[in-house]
Amino acid sequence: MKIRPRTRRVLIALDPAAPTSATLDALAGLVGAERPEICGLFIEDVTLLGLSSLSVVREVALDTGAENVMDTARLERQMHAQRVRVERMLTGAMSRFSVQPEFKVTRGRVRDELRREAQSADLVVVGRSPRQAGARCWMGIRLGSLAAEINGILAFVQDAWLTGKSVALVYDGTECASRCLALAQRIAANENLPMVAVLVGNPRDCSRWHAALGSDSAAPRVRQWHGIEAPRLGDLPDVVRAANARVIVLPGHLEKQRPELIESLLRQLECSIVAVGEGPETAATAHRK
Amino acid sequence: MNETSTYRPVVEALSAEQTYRECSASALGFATTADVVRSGTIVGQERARRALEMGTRIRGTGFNLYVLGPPGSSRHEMVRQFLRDEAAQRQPADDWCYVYNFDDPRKPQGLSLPPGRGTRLSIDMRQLVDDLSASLPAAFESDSYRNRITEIEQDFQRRGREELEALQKEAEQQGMGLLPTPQGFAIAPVREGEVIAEEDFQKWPKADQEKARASIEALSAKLRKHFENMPMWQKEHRRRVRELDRETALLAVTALIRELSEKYEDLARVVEHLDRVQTDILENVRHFLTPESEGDGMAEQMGMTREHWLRRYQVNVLVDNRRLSGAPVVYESNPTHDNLVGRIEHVTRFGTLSTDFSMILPGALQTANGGFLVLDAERLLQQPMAWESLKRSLYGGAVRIESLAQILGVISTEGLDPDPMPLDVKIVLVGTRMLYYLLCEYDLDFPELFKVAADFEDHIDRNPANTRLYAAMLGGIAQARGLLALDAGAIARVIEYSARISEDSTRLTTRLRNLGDLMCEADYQCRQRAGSVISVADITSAINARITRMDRVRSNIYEAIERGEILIDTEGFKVGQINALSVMQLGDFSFGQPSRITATVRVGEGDVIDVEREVELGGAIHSKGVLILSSFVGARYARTSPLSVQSSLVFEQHYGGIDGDSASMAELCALLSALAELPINQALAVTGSVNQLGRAQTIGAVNEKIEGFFDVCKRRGLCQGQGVIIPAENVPHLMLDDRVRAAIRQHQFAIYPVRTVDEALSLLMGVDAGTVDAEGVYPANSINGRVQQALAELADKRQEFSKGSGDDGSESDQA
Repeated sequence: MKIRPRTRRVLIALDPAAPTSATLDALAGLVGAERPEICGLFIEDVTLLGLSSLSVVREVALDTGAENVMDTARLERQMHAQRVRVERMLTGAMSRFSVQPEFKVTRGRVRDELRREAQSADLVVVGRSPRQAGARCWMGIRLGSLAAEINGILAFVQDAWLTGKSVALVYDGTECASRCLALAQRIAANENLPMVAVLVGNPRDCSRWHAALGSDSAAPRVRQWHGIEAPRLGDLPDVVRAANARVIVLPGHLEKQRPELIESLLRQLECSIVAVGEGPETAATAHRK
Repeated sequence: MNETSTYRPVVEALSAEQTYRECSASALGFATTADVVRSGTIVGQERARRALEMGTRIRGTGFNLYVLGPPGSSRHEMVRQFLRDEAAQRQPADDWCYVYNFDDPRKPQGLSLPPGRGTRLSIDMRQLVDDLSASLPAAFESDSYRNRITEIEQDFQRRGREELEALQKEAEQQGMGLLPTPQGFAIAPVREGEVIAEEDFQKWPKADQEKARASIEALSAKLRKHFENMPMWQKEHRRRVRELDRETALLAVTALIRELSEKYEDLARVVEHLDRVQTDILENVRHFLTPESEGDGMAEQMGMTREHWLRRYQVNVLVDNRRLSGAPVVYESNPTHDNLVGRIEHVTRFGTLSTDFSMILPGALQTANGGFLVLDAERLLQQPMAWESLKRSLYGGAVRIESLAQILGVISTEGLDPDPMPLDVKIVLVGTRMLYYLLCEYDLDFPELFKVAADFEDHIDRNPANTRLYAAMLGGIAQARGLLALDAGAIARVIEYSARISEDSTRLTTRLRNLGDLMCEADYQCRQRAGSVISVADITSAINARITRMDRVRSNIYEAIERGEILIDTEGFKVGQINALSVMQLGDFSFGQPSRITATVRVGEGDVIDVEREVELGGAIHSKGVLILSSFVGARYARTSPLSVQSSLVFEQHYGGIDGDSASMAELCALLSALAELPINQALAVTGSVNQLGRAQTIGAVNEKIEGFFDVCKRRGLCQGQGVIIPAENVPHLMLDDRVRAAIRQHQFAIYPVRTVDEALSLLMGVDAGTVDAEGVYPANSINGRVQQALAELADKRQEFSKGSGDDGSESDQA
């Protein structure tokens, strides 16, 4: 198992409601010494714009509690301000890597736009700031299920990137899990962290994988092993919390097996979550071919 | 009288031995100064030593010392040496530290600790911070802490989320959606997960529209209430986090602080400070948890980094006496206000001056506390506010660190006001006598604060014991200056030079700096000739080189005399003309210069016109001398008749100011020569003052004056009979140059010591001065007799003239 996927293009979508630099800090850990193309994405939510044309709608301001009438022009101005803030943050952070990022602005439904833009990237980084924005994160849009729809790698980076002390790998014996293992190893090496492996399967499979992975020289960083059966994936947050993980790397298809898994993990944990897609090749590499 | 006179004066010329007192090298007790053991004795300054002893040992306020003495007399060195010995017998003073004042950071707290423990405390506090920087993050990374903080976080988030979700559910039940916006939340009617369009809404029945509006109003109100509650939840959340932090930190902090408190249990104020440190750490434990490197340039500039915060636990050891074995002795060579009382440094942050207790620096008063502080009085008085600050500190018994700007009130920036340091120090001011008396006269505080005067003598007696100690002291100076060793002969020569510059063969100067410099110059001479030991020849070369360096003006004057531009006769006889001797001072160098004085007489009313005074070139003392000699003439020769002469005295070819009375005997002799019409021997020069009774009196710079006339004679070629008449009392002051003494030995030059003006007159005119008889008359052929006779004739002429003009006093009486 010596799969070493190369990242050529990274799509970064910062939470427009509360963009955080932790997302950008995480980039170093995710791509290491590779120098991929970086593309920032800002989505102007048409659903939100549609609200302003509705006369009956009322807006209550978060910080003052004041009640406002929705106004398209004001909303456009606020979106513009968000876009400028996000672009400035991205450009500033990328200057550390001596990279000049591309910055793309699209208008549409957030989910649809993200899925469409993700087709041209090996890695999609979605920034989240749940602690600051609460339920307002990504304007309340649930993006966890995207993990089941994107072939590449989808990383939900929460703003506690630097606090965890390990990399958690969720391994279920699939080929996608092998890609997860390779990615987890790379992050652990880049961040100089130990790994914790969570084997998801029946006890016999888990023992086999443990033996195989344990003897694999490619997995020397695994310090702890846990086994849970697939129906008990709900226990995953407790295991990850006990391991004080900075990031969980898991196969994206788990979201199909257990809908709302990633959304639930994001709600319960402060660590980041990286879902690895099914495809052997990303759309980006295909596109280049 | 003239060259043919057969009169032999009774005054004997001095022998060469009488004009110089040699120092015996063999009596010094060493071969070279390398053998000398440097001693701490203050040679011949018993009075000053006793004053120093008393001043340094006496208790009570105001018993500080003022050391008086001439500049260059090594008072500073002698005082410091004395104080070092005195301090060595005392206990070292306490350390003094400043620590952060947690109640009022503007007023740093002072701590006094036994010597060495200030630094120890500083190290301990640094170690405490290091230990806490390691142990606190460890405690805060423990599973236990993480679980508990997560629980608090989740509680907080759950509370907000649950309420919002409940609100969302309620909205859904009413066909409404709670939708996030950039500013907050919007409430809108929703059908099948999609916000309804405006045109669809307008198609709704009015009742449904009203119902929707009512629902939106009600939900908005609930949402507002939810937001209003959030700050309280956040406050509660922060309180719980703080409590957990405090609880987590308490264990690690308490153990370390307790250990320190036990170590310093004998120092109540230190223990008190440690308690405050503990409280502060528990309240601000988060600062120990941020990584050291955290903090960008702006945070650094604004003093908001972790390092800046942790600085409050440091100890600023202002006075560290751990290396002292006795009381401190501090010499502050630049006694500015700041160097005396200490200062507070500042750093600039965003154009604003910022400071804290760690930037307090000590002054000499703090460093010398518990011991002695030596200051140069003149330098102290030259520094703005330094003297005032010193007096304030001494009066208050404490040093308060204030900047000049604060004292003068020229800045309004808030600064620090550290605890004043209790003061127990002896101040030793070293200065001139003039300054001492001026301070006594014009500064009312001075006598209160400096009650002990240690007066250093300008000279010490040149007796055998003192000479040996003096020689040892010179040896010590040579050693201290790192000079080549001097042999005993060289030291003896330096001692002779010392007697010469003190203008007394029986005394030695205390201006040792001059002698130190001379030995240094001799060292140079010795090295020039590749010698290893400084000899007499090197000292003599150094003395001659000194003279040569400063000799330009003297050479020019002597050359002018030689060329006849300045009229000086060194042979022959002249009536009313005499060679007087003056001395010219050019910096450290002085030399004698012969001057011609002439006197003329005519009928008059007893006035002696001092031309120098008339043109305001003569000083007060010179005028006094002329008035004395005029009084002498009247009292001696015209006691019973009017003094009917008007005479003029002139210092010929003198165009600058002249002062002193050392020429008064010469002026008198010239005047009497003019009256008696007896010529004066120009081979002789005269120096000395005279009193109203005709007694010769001592004058200064006798050696320079004699050598000055000798040099002029020598340039013209010495001939027998040349010499100088001096007051007999000046004989002990003679330390004449070797070349003068050689001429004396060869009878080419002579020094005549006289006691009276009569002896001088006899020598100058070769005629007996004459002794007055019972009727007040002098022998007719004597000098005095001829003067008496001349004055009587002038009186007769005046009377005749008066009769002719009808203005006679006797007629008036008869009338």
